[in-house]
Order: sequence, then structure tokens, then C-alpha cells
Amino acid sequence: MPQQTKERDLINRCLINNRLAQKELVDSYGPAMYANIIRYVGQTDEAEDILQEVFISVFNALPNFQYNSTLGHWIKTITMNRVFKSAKSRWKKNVDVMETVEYNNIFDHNEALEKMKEADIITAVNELPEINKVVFMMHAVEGYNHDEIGKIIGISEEGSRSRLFKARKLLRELLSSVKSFIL
Amino acid sequence: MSKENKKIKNIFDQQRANLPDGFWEKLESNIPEYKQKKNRFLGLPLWGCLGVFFIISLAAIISYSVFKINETTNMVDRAFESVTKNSKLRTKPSEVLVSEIDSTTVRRINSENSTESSSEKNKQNNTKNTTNSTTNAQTISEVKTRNTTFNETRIQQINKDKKPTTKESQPQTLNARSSFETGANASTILPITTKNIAEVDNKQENLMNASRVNTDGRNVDILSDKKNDNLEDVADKIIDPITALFAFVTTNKELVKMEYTKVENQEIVFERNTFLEGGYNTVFAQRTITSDTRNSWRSNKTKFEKDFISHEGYVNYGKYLNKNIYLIGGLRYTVIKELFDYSYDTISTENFSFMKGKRSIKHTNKLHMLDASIGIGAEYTINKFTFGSHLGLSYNLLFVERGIGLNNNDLLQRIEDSNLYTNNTGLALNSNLYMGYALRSNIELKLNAGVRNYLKDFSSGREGLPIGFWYKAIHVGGGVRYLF
Repeated sequence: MPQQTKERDLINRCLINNRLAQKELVDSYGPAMYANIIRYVGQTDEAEDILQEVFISVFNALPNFQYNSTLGHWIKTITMNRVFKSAKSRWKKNVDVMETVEYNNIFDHNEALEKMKEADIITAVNELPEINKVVFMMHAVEGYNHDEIGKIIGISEEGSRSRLFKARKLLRELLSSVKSFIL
Repeated sequence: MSKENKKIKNIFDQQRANLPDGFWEKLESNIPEYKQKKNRFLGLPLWGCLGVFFIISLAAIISYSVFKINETTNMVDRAFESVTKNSKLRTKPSEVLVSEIDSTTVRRINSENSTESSSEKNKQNNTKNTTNSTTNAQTISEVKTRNTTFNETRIQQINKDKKPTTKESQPQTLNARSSFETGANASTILPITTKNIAEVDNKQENLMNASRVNTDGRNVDILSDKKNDNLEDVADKIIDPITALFAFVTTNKELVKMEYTKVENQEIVFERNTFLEGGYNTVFAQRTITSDTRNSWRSNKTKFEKDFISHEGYVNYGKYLNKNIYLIGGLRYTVIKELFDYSYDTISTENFSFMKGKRSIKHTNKLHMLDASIGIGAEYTINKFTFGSHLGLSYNLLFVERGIGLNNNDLLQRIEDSNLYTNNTGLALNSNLYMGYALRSNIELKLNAGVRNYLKDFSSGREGLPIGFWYKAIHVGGGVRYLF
């Protein structure tokens, strides 16, 4: 069955209050969304609360789903909006002095990058300070530019650049300890 | 996006985290209940029935108008026949074409002349009335024009020779318009006289009234039967707004009244004795599951097993008890379809322990049923349309069952093996409405709609699983009736 047809079928069954289908939706998309939330918020009770709020929002908005994107992308958008909204106030308190720094790419050598192990990267990213990690993830994983990042989390564009620079710098230090990683 | 960002993105996109323990249980209570859309299978027959009844109503109104017109024509004819009979004017009328009749042969009385001359001559000719009645009879001719039969009297001769000596019916002057707008010459279709018949036979004078209608400045008399009131009153009764609307006449009662007399009686009378009919119905069956103890199982079956549009064919034989009442009996073969959709990845193990893991099962179950029905009906025929309904009982035999379903052990199983429908026989209450249109004198096309309620549960005999399947069905369809 094509993915789109399967999604339609799943949504239709959810909309007739089929609990099994609703559980199927949660089981299908929940782990990825939960991983996303943990990435930004950490493995805390708050992450679980956010995940629950996300799925309540998903089920509330499901009758209005227009099939303009995939169901997974739509749920991820809801998740990320909820994550950013939840953490925005907290991050605002921690806004530090804006530093003007020059952006440098920490991954200069593709060869070195290819040799990096996934686990090492994940570990290193998770060890970044929260706000720097958020900016780094938004830029590197979600693909936002600095202007968008600034608007979403309530900092300036330059502040976003600064935090990304710090994140990369820290990552370089963290990854340098990994034997397989060669800068 | 730079290469390193792509790699990092890929790494994180593939990340998964196990959901927290008890997450679904917490979430489940917060999931909103969606309002279900109206069942299209129920909406469709509803609109279908409404459509059929609208058509029937429209046809009935139109037919009623035509019926009224015919009735008026007959009324006039009967009145004239009564007059001629009682007046002993029994000479066989001669038939002449209107075109051959000089306009003077049709009664047109100048209002001034008629009133003046009548008073003078009444006294003179009093004694001659009786003796000349036979002669006058010969002046009556039946005029046939198009599809209309008129009786016409040569008024001039009567007026010359005889004037009524007794009290003459007082003509009423009506405000008729100038002429008919039907394409026919007004002078050729003004038909009837009665006043002079009253002159011929005084005994009959009380039977008749004469109405005078001014047409093209001339007065003519129109027959009416006193027993039925005069045509003016008849018209008042007959020409109700609906009739007028569908007769496409709205302005002048007199014109309508005279036009009515031109309409040929087109009522079709069938000799009805017995009939044989057959046809096809689209059936919207709805199953209700009842269970005292297995609510979860019942609710899952209700969720995943949906009713579907079904089909049936029927043959009936009927016997008329009288013109309107008939007995009917016949056979009906129905194929009931149900869509069973068990397509989901993970299901609760509480009731579906057999279905762990991914399953996707869709199946259209078919139940074949043969109904033997008997009933009594009534119908009413208006021209070519027949409207009727019948009520009855049917004995059902569920004789072929194919498909899958949850059996009493919560296992998906072929229903022919699981014996879900243990009661293969049952009773149903039927009601049916129909409208027929006569193609020929003995063949009718019919539209019908109806409801039947199966009174007996199809599975109540099963031991250990007190669950019942109850069916209701709405059908809409058509067929052909042959009248013997």
C-alpha cells in the first residue's frame, strides 16, 4: 500500500474514534517525536508532558489535516513548535551577552567527518550547553537560518550566530577527545 | 546544506526514543471523541424516498387536475342526458361537423331580443308546448367537434314557434370574456341550450337552470343540472388554485368552465383481476449487534464491520379483492454485503490476543437471504398513474453465508465455519409504497420504496455467546407489473 494511502487510511480510522488506529498513530510517530523533544529538552518529565500535549494537539487538529504534507512532517512541525514555545521563556532568561565572533566551520575535513561515529556525535551534541545545543540543532538538523532561529527562540540573528559558533567550538573540543575523530 | 550538516541531520533524524511507560494510557483519556459524519448509507435512501414521494405527489396533483376536468365534462354530459331523457326528446341525434353548422344553428341569443320576445310569446304559445315537443326533439343534434361531443338545439325554430308559458329559468348574465383563446372559433364550440328544452317540457323545468354567457357581445346559454348546482357553482368547487394552476388557467372561471366541456373523458379504466410483478431494489441494510455480556466484543465488531449497499430481486403475484384492495405474495432474494475491515498494525491484546503484530484484513461478507412474503395492499388509480402501498410479513431464510468475522473465541474465522448466524429463519415486517405508470392497458412501470424490519435475531440460538444480529433494511427500486 502506498505511504500516502496508508496514511489516509490510518487517519480515517482515527477519525471514526478507532482507538486501535489512534494507538497505531502514536506508536508510529511517537518515538521519533519523543527523540526530537528529548534532544531539545532533555530526558525529563517535561519532555513527556510536551509529547502528550503534542499528540493531544495532533488529535485535535486531525480532522483539519489537509494532506499538503506527509503526516510525519505535519506532526514534527507541531512537535517543534511546541518544543520551541515551551522552552522559549526559559532560554530568554539565559540570554547572555552577545558576542561578535567570526563563524568558522569546525568540520573542515570531510574525511574526518566520515570517520566520526554516530554515537560520538550524538554524545558530543548532548553535552553542549542547552541554548547552544538548541541553536546548533536548529541550524544543522532542522535547517533553519539564523534569522528564523532568532525569531523562533527570541534572540537576535547575531546572537544565533554567536551561539552556533560556541556550539561548534565546544563540539570540536568534545570530539577531539574521540580517537576516531581527526580534525 | 553543508555535508557535515547533512550527516548530522541524518543521524538525528534516525534517532528514536522509547515512549515513556504508560504513555498511551495517559494520552487515551485526553483524545477527543470525533463527531461522526452522517451515515451516507442512511442518508441516501432517505433522500431517495423523499425524491420518490415528491415525484408521486407532483404526479398526483397533476393527475388530480386532469381528473377534475374529466369529472366536469362528465357532469355536463350527464346533465344533458338527464334533460333530454326526461324531456322525452329521444330522437337519435344526427351528427354533424361543427364546420358544417351555420353559426345560427348554435344557440346565440341576443340578450335584448330574448327577454323581450319571450314575454310576449309566452302567452300566445302556451297551449302548443306539449304538442310540439316531438318536433323540437328533431332539432336536437349531436355535434361532434374534435374530441368533444356537444348537443345542440336549433334555437331559432323553437323561439319562433314556442315560448315558455311557465316560469322560465332566469338566465344569469356572466361576465365572460370575448372569446376562447384556444384556436377554436367561439361560435363553433358554444354548445348547449336548456332553456328551450324547458320550454318543450314544462315538467322538466325544475331540473335545469340556464346560464347566459356573453361571448363576443352575444349571449349564449349553457346547460347545467340543478341537481349538481349550476356550472357556476361547480366551477367554484372545481377550479381550486391547484387545479387552475395545472390547467394553466387562472383568470376566468367561465372560460375554464366552457373549456372543461371540451375535454374528452380520457380516463383509462383497467380491468384488474390479478397481476404479476418483478423488479430490482437497492437495499440499505443496517445491522445492530446486541449483547448482554460481551460489550467489548460487540463494540469491536460494530467498529470494524460495516454495512454496505446490498441488492435484491423480487417477484410478486397479486389478486385484487376489489377495485382498490389486493392481496400480494412473492419471493425476494437479497444479497446483504458487509465490509469487514481489520486493518491496523497493533491492537489491544485484551480481546484480540490472536492478532498481535501487523495485520490488514479487508473482506466483504455476503449473506444471501430468501424472503417469502405475503401482505395486503391498497391502491388508487388516477388516469395512467397508480399509487399504492402494502403491508405484510415475510419469512426469511438465510441460506448462504460467506465471509469472515470474529467468532465467539475472539478469533477471525470464516463465518460459514463459525456458524455465527445460527438462526437461519426469521420473520420480517414489510411496508412498501409505490407509484405505477401505465405503459399499456396491462403493463405498468413502477417505482417503489419501503422499509422492512426483521423481527427475529439471526443468532440468538447460539449457546455460550449471547449476541444477536438484528437487521433493518430500506429499499428503493423499480419494476414492471403485468395485469391479467
